[in-house]
Amino acid sequence: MNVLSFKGIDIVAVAACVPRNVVDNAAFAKNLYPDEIQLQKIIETIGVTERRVSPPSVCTSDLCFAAADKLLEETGTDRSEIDALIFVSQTPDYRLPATAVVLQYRLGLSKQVVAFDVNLGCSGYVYGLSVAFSFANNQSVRKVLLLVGDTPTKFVSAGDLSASLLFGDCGTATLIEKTNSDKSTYFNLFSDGSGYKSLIINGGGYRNPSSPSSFESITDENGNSRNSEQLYMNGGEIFNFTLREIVKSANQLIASCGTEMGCVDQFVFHQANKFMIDFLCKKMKINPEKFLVSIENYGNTSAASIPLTLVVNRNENAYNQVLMSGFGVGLSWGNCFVKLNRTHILNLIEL
Amino acid sequence: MKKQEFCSELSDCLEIENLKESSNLELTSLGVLSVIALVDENFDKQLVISELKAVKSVSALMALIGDENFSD
Repeated sequence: MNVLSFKGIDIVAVAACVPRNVVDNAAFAKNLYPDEIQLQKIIETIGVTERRVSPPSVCTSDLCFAAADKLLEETGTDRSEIDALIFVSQTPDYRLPATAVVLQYRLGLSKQVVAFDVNLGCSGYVYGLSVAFSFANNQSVRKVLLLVGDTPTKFVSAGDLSASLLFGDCGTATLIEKTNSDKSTYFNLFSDGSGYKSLIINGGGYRNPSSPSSFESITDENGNSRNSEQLYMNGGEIFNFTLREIVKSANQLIASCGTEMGCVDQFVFHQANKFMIDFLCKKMKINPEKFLVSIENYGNTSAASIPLTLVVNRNENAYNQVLMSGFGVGLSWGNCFVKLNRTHILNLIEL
Repeated sequence: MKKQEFCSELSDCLEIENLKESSNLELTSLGVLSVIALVDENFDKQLVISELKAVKSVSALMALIGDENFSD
């Protein structure tokens, strides 16, 4: 697909909600890594000092609900004006029905709302925005509520030597509206299913249904133990994919907007891990001050990482021309070049 | 890039002292990421991950990168 472009549609507000529970990685992984120096090296490389972990009773939808409720209240939005609700996540409440429909009721939105789920991870915010903008582009749609979040700590094995230190939970809400401003927003989106095994939860779906054996932990040659209903991640393959596709696709988008990287004020990329973020920043020759991060205190929050990064850096930055890039599970990736100079970014919410 | 220079860069990035062409090498998962970055930066090349993980020596890694990519 070529570039999707929209005019006169704005991101009006962004909110993010994290669980109150802070997990300190050095304390968490003491038993996993008997060698303290090795543990310190891992923590430095992935760049996650602490993360937010939800208790069993809190789902992604609860974090998104809290973010959306506060956003609608703080922006004084009339709930009856929301015409579409999109929930992007890999951790829905139920296998069915769609969480978006449950949230329509819970948020007190009209029955006229179009509500549906999108199953995407690290690329999910950019994809979700493109869907929200497409709805908002229609004359009969007034406002679109995009809820993006994940609670990956629920599907990662505590015996996974690197993934168990990497992920954090977060739910976000973004309000998109037709404003008829002169702002243009651009997207490019990609998929490569040949890499679907690089990040996968193999069991518990309909291809490999839950069974007693799907909950049996197996230890691999590197000492990681996990069962087939927990996340498997091939870090090397994901890194290779990122280097191969992300820089190229981001450059393509910026070129097709008729601008150049020097005109981008802030870069907000998926917070995969610190090593990867730093390397992308260096490879793209970006001033690190413009390359925003949230990984140190919140970890990799999957689909929520881009809006969470906007929220936690709000006080230090006057957002303007922002390049977002989401990439990962699928494999799926996409970029968005958008102007956020009038976007209201709420303070971080804790639940 | 000369082979000796590569060995020195590899030593730095893996934090293993005095790696030589003849040295044994077994990559940890962090080591795999470091080598991917090193090879991307210096050779603009991507290695097949399963082959990279199977490497047992520096010379085997250099063979994956390809002799034609070294200037000596």
